Amino acid sequence: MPCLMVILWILIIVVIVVAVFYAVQILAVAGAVYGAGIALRNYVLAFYHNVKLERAGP
Amino acid sequence: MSKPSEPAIKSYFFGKGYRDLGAVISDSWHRNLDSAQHELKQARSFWPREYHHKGLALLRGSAGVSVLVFGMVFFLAASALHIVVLGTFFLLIYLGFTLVYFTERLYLLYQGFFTVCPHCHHKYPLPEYFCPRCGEVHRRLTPSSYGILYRTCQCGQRLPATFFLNRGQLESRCPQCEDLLKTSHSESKKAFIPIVGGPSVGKSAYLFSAVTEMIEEMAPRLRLSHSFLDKTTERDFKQVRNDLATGQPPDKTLDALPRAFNLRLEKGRKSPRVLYLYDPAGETFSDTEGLVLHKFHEYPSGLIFMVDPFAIPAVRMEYEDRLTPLMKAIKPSALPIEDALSRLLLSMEENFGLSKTSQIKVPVAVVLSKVDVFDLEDRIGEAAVRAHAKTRPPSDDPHSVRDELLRRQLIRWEQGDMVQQLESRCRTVRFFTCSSLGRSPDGSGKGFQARRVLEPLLWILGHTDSLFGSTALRKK
Repeated sequence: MPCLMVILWILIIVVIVVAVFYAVQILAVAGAVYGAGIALRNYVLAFYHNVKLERAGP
Repeated sequence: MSKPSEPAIKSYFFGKGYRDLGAVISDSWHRNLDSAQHELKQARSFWPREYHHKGLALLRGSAGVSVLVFGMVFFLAASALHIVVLGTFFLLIYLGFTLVYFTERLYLLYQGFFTVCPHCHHKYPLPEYFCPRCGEVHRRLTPSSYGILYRTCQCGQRLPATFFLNRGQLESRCPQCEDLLKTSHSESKKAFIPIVGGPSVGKSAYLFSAVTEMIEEMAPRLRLSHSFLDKTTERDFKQVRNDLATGQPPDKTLDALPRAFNLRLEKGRKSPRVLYLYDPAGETFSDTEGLVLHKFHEYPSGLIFMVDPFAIPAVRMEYEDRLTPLMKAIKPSALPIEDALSRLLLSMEENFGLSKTSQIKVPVAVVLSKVDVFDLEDRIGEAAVRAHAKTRPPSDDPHSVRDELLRRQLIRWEQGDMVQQLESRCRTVRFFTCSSLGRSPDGSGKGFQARRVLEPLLWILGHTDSLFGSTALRKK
């Protein structure tokens, strides 16, 4: 019985560790995607504000 | 030395495009830094709290790092694409204007079009053009980074950038002396003929008589229409023609640096021809310094070397008794002929690139003037040439007969050195005689009638332009 409890606890701990690991992974990836989105938006805004297809004088 | 910028709007792909690219990179980098700082600040504020806050902190923290990493990747990739697009258009425009530029250069070279200022006599490929709206000066109005076929002046006016689009209709000026130029100073075939010789050899009389004959006889025969490029030339010509018609010789030239006498001749749709005749004051041949400014000696089509027979001591001796009372009317040149020739050659060597051992490559017409005086017409004029021709085989060219007769006579008059100098330093020499006035001025009011003034001019023009070649040969 105590042996079974030990195994059960180990399993629960493994599940928690794996869950936390994946949660961290997912959060990190989500953060990265969100960050990439911001970076893309920043580039588009910079392009929009700075590129004027008109010719310049002397 | 960098070229001064033009008062025109440059192509986007030759300047502003790259400034825009730099601004995009800088702006996006600063935006990314701001975003990253914001996200990391948020992450720090979430971290010390509950687990779900820690999760949010993780999310914002990774977003902050990601903004920097992906931001850099984005702007590197997008900038590469941006550069490719800019570079492609840059290359296409560069190829376009280079192609049009060289096509134009080749065409102008083929046509023999270039610009010569009639005032300062500098020669250059292109004048400076004025914008018709704001008057700004465009120094290099050619296909360039300002536009392939047209360019836009900074005032907004569209200007043609090539000969093929009537650039010549714009007002232009000499880049050197800023004298205003006519279209024909640039876009025409040209012949440059300086009339050289000491004082009082009859250069001005020759110039006006030859131009009069050209306008009144040759131009109608060849169906050429004529015009003067500037009003001063036209006014002076009409004045002198009227004077000649009333027995008044032209005034003495005083300008050491004469303005070119321009005559424009045109036949149908053929390219116009412009003659540049130069009549400097004879005093400039008294020393070589006076000839430095005669830039037209850099690019002559031919030279007319006027010889006053009465400048030759032997001739003066021969006619001494008859010459003295007529000195005022005949005005013998005081400068020895060989001196005038030597100074001309020396000046060409010192200032105009003629080496001491090489020859003048353009045709040189040696014209003995004032043959109407005494019996010179019978001795060296056409009657004498005809008489001399009888002693020669019939196959001999009449021009060679005349050359031989005049050459011999000059040697007899102790001008052998001058003849030798002419023949050794000039590749093509021909001797002519003429009387620019037909008789000595006598105050009778009777009009002058020039003799054989056109021949030397046509002989030179025949060497440079096929339009005149056949005429020169036909008229014997």
